[in-house]
Amino acid sequence: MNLDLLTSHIIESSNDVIISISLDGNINYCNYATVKNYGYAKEELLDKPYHILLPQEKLAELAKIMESLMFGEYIDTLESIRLSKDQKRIKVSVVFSPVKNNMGKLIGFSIIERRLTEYRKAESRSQALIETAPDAMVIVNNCGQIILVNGQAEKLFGYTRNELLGQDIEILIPDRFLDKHSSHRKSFFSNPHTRGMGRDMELWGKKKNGEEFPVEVSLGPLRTEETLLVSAAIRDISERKYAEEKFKRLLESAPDPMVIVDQNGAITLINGQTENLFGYSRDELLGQQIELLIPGKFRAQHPEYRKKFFQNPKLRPMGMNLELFGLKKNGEEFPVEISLSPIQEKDSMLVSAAIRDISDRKYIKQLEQKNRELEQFAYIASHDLQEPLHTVKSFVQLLKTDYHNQLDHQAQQFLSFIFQSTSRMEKLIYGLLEYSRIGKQKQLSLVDCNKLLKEVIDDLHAKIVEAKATIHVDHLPTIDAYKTELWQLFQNLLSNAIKFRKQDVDPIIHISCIQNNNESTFSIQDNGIGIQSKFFDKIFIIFQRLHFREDFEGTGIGLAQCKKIVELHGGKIWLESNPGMGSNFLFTI
Amino acid sequence: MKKINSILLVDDDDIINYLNKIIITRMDIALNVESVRSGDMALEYLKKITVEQNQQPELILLDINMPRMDGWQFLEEYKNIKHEFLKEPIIVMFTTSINPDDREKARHIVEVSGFKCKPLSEQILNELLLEFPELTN
Repeated sequence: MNLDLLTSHIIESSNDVIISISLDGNINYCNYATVKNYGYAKEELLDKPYHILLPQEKLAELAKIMESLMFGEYIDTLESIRLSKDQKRIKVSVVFSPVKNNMGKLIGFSIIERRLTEYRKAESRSQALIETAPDAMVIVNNCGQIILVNGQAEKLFGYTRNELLGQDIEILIPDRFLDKHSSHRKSFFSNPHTRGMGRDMELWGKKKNGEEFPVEVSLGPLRTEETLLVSAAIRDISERKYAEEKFKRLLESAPDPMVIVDQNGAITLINGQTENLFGYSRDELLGQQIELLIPGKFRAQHPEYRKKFFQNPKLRPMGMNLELFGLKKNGEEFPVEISLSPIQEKDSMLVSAAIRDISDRKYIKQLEQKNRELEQFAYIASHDLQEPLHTVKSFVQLLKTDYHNQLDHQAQQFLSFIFQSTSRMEKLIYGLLEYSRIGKQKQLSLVDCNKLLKEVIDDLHAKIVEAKATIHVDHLPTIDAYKTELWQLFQNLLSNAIKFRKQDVDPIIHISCIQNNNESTFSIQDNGIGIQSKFFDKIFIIFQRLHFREDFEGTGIGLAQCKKIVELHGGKIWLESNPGMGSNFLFTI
Repeated sequence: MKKINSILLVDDDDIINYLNKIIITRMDIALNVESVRSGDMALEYLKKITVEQNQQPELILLDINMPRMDGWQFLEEYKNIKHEFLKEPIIVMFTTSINPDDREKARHIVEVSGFKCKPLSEQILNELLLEFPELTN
């Protein structure tokens, strides 16, 4: 085979487009690959200008190249675009070479063009790869330009692929993070390393429509021979955030302090009530070991309990009769009740602990206990004290009657003092007994106060007549009350109003009641001697008296009793008064 | 041994005052024993007596729980007039109260020199004479 024929075969069989053009730019040869690639028949190209294969924007490029070639400059392989007969753009790599004759004279140029199919294939392979990723993937070059995205990214951000390619990655980031982001990006490129998702960073994405949404982003460096790329996997966590927010709100609305702890005992979530109870701020607690909130003496065993709980996690309600204690930031220990419940997360187990401060309850319990003991004591004491007292009184009485004639004046006076004192003590003890008996037989019932007061007034008839007292009673309500106690209350207040009258003014007493909001405010208004405001508290204390006994008889128990009765009904008692201006005793029930 | 010039008893119970007077008189340790029935009466008495200095009490036995003006209130008021005395009287809280709070409260009042519990007896008076030798010197 002659050499020319072989050359001709080689050229015609080549997959590369081979074209020869004359100095004036007209095609004088093209091979079969030209036909195959660009869709023209050979005849359609021969003697036509080469630039009919070029898109408009590449004409200048061609002119420049031709010029360089004329000047004998070497042209590197370049990438360009060619148009097929049906105006399809075809990406090609092009090699221009001068064609010289035997004499070395430039007679034209050869152009070898290769479709960039191989490159395209390579690109689509990585495309295919990132399409399989579950998350939105964006690959960015070292200038921060997006060079590859997957369908998930298009969907997530609302852009088409073409809108994203070549853009700065910042297009996907809310404006308020832009400053930080470019510096983050630079520092990442200077020290590229894989960064996993969920590093407790609050990250946000921005959609084409401007909508922002919380994301988690993992970054990985992608080294190619020429350059460093970064692949970013982006996960929309709106749903999870929403669920988290909902959970947090739920947590905040819980009445008790709540602490959520992971398997390692680290606090992952708390509510505001926890901050208040323990005196730590949220920041001081998150990430800390739960043992921080446990007093020293219980701290050592706690991790063991924790481990056991996680081995067999199940709900443990409050009030299991466990003596548990919490530790505040200020070092104060306090009794708590704790309920535990496991929370199964996707890949881990958490436990939520509801903590209830029961100091008050413990304190109230102790107080109630003390109160009961005290009442019991007063009751028994006053009861038992009466016995010897009666004995003393009886013997004094005997002395007085049997030895009357044998006793001188002073002895008789002594005896009378003894008698006076024992009588007084009798009254005091009786009062104490009455006082401690208040509320002993609790029996709430509907009491018609009009009827009740009529009874009380009947009972005080003698005193009322003696004092020439006038008593006005408004219409009174029917209330839920302890009848005996209420009777006692009205009797005490009414007899006080009669007792502490002015010497020269007949007592006028007005009893009334105002009702609102389920609460009745009773008023017993008199025109008596009145009370200085500095004694307003003192008069309700047992055995406190403002007057000498001979001026106003009494034991100092009545108002203490009233207070106890009102408080038994959950109400308040107080007074308005000025010396000489009468008193108004008010109480609520 | 010198006798106490005058002792003032402050107690609302007249029977107790009467009894205590008898006990003090029988021990023959005071030239004069006076009694009043409340804090305000004691103040009134002392104001009057500062004018007639020779009658000034050297010892005051002060009850706590009294109507009108109790022992504590008396002490508050007394602060304002004590500078009128040539020699301030020794004030001893004298009470039925066994409440340790009262004893503690008394300890923090400079005007109070002692704290004794009722009833008054020869023994208590002897203790007072030992504690406050200036009364009989």
